Amino acid sequence: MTSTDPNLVSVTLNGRTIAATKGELIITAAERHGEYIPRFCYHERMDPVGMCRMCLVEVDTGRGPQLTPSCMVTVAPDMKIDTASPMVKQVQEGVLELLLANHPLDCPVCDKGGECPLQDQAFSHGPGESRFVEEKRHYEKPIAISDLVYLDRERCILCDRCTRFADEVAGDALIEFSSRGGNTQITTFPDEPFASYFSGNTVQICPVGALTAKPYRFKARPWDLEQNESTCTTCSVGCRTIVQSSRDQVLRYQGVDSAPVNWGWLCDKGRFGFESVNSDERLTTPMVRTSGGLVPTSWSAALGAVADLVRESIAAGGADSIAVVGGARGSNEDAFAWAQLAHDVIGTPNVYAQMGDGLPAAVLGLDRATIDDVASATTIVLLGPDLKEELPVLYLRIRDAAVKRGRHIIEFTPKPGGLTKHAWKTIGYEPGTQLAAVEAALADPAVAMQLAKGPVAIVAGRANLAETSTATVLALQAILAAVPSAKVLPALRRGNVVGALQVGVRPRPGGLDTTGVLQAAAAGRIECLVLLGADPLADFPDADLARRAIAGARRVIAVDTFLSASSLQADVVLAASAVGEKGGTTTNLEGRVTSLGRRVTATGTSRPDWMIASGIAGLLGTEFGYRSIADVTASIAARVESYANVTATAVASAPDGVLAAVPADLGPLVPPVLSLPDRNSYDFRLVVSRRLYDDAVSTRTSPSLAHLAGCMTVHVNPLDIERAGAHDGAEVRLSSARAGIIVTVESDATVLRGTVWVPFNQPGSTIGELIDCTAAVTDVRIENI
Amino acid sequence: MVAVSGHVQRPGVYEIVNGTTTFRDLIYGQEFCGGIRNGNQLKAFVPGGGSAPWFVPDQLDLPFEGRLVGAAGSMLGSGAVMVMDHTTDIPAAALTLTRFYAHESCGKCVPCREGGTWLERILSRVVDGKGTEADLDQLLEVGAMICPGAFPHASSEELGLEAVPFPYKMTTICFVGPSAYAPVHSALTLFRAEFEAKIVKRTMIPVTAMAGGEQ
Amino acid sequence: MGYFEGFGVTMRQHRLFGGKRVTTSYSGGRQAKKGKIHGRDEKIDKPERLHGRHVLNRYEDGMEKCIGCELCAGVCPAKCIYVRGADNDPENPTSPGERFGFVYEINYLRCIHCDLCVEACPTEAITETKMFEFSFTDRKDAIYTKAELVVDDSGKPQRLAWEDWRDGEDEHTSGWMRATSASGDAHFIGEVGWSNELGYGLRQPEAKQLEADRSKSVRVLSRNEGHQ
Repeated sequence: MTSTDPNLVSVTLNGRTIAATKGELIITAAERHGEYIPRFCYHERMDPVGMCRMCLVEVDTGRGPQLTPSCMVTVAPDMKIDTASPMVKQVQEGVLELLLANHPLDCPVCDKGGECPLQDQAFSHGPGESRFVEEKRHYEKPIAISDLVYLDRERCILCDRCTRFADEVAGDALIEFSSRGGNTQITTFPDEPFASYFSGNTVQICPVGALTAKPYRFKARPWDLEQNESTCTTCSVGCRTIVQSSRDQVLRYQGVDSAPVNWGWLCDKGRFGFESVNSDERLTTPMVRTSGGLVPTSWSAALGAVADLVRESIAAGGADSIAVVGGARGSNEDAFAWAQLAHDVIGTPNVYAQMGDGLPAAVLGLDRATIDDVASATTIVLLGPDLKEELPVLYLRIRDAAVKRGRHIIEFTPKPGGLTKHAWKTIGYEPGTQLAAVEAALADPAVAMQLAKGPVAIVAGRANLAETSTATVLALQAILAAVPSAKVLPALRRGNVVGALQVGVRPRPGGLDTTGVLQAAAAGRIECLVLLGADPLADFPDADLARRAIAGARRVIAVDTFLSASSLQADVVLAASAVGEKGGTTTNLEGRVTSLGRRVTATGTSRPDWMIASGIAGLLGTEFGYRSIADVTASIAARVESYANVTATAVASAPDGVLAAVPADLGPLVPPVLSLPDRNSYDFRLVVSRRLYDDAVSTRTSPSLAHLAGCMTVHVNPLDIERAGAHDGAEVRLSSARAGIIVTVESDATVLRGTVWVPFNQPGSTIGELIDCTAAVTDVRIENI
Repeated sequence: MVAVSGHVQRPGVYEIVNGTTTFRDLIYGQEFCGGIRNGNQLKAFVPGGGSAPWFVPDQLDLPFEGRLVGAAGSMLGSGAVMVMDHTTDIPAAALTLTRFYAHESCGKCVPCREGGTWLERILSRVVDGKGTEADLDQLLEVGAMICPGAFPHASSEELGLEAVPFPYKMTTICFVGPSAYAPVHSALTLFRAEFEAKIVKRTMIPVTAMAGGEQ
Repeated sequence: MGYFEGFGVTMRQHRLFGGKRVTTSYSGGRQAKKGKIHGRDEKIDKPERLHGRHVLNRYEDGMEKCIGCELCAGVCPAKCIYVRGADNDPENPTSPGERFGFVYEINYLRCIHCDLCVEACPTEAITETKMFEFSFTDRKDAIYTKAELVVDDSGKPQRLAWEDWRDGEDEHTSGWMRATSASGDAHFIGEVGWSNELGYGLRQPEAKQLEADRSKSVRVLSRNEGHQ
């Protein structure tokens, strides 16, 4: 080696000299140089354990060749590695024979059969025949270790991948080895299922068919599957996935290891939520309201009706009386075509992709952090929702940064959550007092010193739906004023909300945001309200306003995949295609644009949103001229400044996506003045936030996930329960200035004193009744009944 | 300090001089164990705990010295000497030790977890008189999956065996896996006849005789 | 049939050598030479290895052998097999183990009778009969379902109305399968891998193979002791 790069180590691999990187494991160095070493327990995203002994190679460091687990030992100068010596072959065959000794060989009925690392490596490195004639170990065939995962202990080779994942990566150490020797097995703890939000990953990384996922169990054989790479749009993290289908039905999502995003992991909601695509409840045709209610109709009739409604509305109240809310569900192309239709064809400025539960769109104009920026920042400031519940894979990345990479988390929260135990400092605040909490923290010399140590990244989002975003924005500005170099990652939740806002689904000057639109509709000033995959009745925090708005809008047009509570009230419902049925691109919260894979035929006659927008525009006299989705992608690149580099070719050739530029035209982040009422000492300040599983239509229509949603209870600090005169499990009346609801009390020590926490949109939820979206905060009173 | 157990007059813990005291001194010396019980003959002894390969009377004059014991094909290990007299059922003694190590296996790495259990199962079949000739070779083959390459054993003048010195290669993380194999290997190498006496003699049927065509 | 023998057939039938254009001497393979048509409505004798219509076998206790693994469907070059598995009812199982073949369909308009399905089958559930005389008037009838494919209580193929069965034709439901199977190691000729029979009826090894086997100097021991 003539190289003088201090990070390179020269080692001999099977007789040839290779340059390995310092600190690199033998197994990865060898693989990079074309020598695949078989392995079962080693996984590149987890710490090595050296348990399976499959990766033993002979390494000579001057003392003669020694059998060395290549997944445990890093390269050292002048190491001589032999991965193919007769001794190594003998060991590989021996280990495989031992692994197969008690393996049931029920490959024909095993879901893993055909894509099984054990099967593959038995073929490539195994002895071909077993000498084990004894009776094999027997256990009860698959036992459910959670609602989603089955464990077949006979097939298990005890590689420690699932248990390591649960402990190391997910932080939910709910599965563990029990017993020992030949009786070792994986078990859950008594009365405690493996109820992790990330349990599906263990199924994906299981090197045998021991762990199987209920939604995919016996659904297809691997050779039946056809697949496309795609992006999960369940939340805005934008995890890369492989969508697999058989016989035109989406059957499985697998995580793809995208280094800057998801590292191969998916949350269970993203992994199993595809079931809603196959749901029988999907809208198959457009519908129009007649005297007999909503009846199916043809596309030409429905689009004609929409065009007529739009023309009538413009004639009656001007273009301003038309409003479009939603658009965060689809692709960039869908959002762009609708923004074009609304702004350029109809001419209304009232377009908004958020549903009153995010932050002002101007946060997207701040210096944007990528997920990698956040994970590598010296200090990570959390000023937003519980990431484990809302952006689960971002939680995994930040947890990894804190646990394994020693990053310091400063968390500001009204309700401690998933990252609290990994935070260097958790500062609880009562809703509305974010600014005071931030100012106090910044005055703390320890915090100031920590912030000065290195790069700072802020994850900012909406932690509480029962208050306006004002206080959060003020707090964010205070941190940015103290640390001007800090980068911001917007923790907005909906799949493509960042993309929709960036390509134009946001108000033009003088336009209304969603709250404004709904207020105008409730006041009778909206002639035509277009719900673009939006369901205000379920999703808008202020239930009363949503109801009055839907009732007050003269006409409602819904573009939806399901008949949601809101689209049931629409005059025209246009059936939209779901993810997996359409291509295009999507933008994640970093601004990373990745491709969506079209895998199956659209349900019924449903169409992608961009095609619907383009059809309506045509009927209104403007031809967009889009013949395929590629035309729309090209149009975005040509017409949206920040997407100039995001061409279809660029996205297709970059597996990890293309970062769109930070939009420059979003205006300054100006919060309205905060007028915070004092809290009456008998009252509690209400915190409402989401859980991963809720009553959202895509969860409700996924059979495996539907029953995972909880129910609405009011979580109260145990010390406060007594003060309120209630007890754990009691039914109480929870009332705000708006209304009162009956709800069960749940004692929860993580809830801060003086506040109560209620999950949003759980089945049967009525918490929206208490929320006034214009009030700075919501105070509630607990009364016994 | 060494702990002597087994068929000696006075089992117990004895203080010895490292490097000069020999195994003969320890087993037969009056200040130590005082000889084999009932005046029986020494058959074999384990010099350094259950995980050590066995010695036979040929090695009695070795002193307690790690390097020399290693060269002779075993180890001093934990300093627990187990003495077996001529009444000992060697396969059964090996099974006792192997069963112990198979049970002690933590189950973490594959060769120990699966190999130890497998060894125990074959050996117990042999001890029960249900083994076959092939089982004896199978024991060594399973052992080779735990410890590939030459495994140390003592020399034996009677059998014309040269000693194979320590150490061995192993595929496991720790020494529990090889420990399950050590007694099997020593017993089979030094006392194969005793195993053969236990196995069932069968006539092997050539495969063609079973083909339908030769009915 | 060796290359030269086959080439000989080609030469013999050539016009220059007074051939007859029609390959009578190879109409149906080697066995056909021995076969003769006995009368107007008689069938020619079929070679032992002829691949005909499939059957789905059962164990002696009546349990179905098919476990619904779809390996046959996966290997089928004509894509004519459609299989769906389902979970066995533990109280009243259809097959031993976890799964059974719930749907099993073969489209005989596509099937090329290559027998790859038979080789792929891990439980010897699917084998072929010598039945080749069947025809349909409706394309849908060409899709045999599980109800038609599964053998009757005696283990013999069902004699379906539109098939031309003659007595004795159902004695064997498969020919010499192991000889061509992937694990058909010549050392194990005559020794049936898992079951005593492949489909219905025990068969003799073919004469030439038996001789070849006898002449082998190495006599290999049985892997499956106690097997007769």
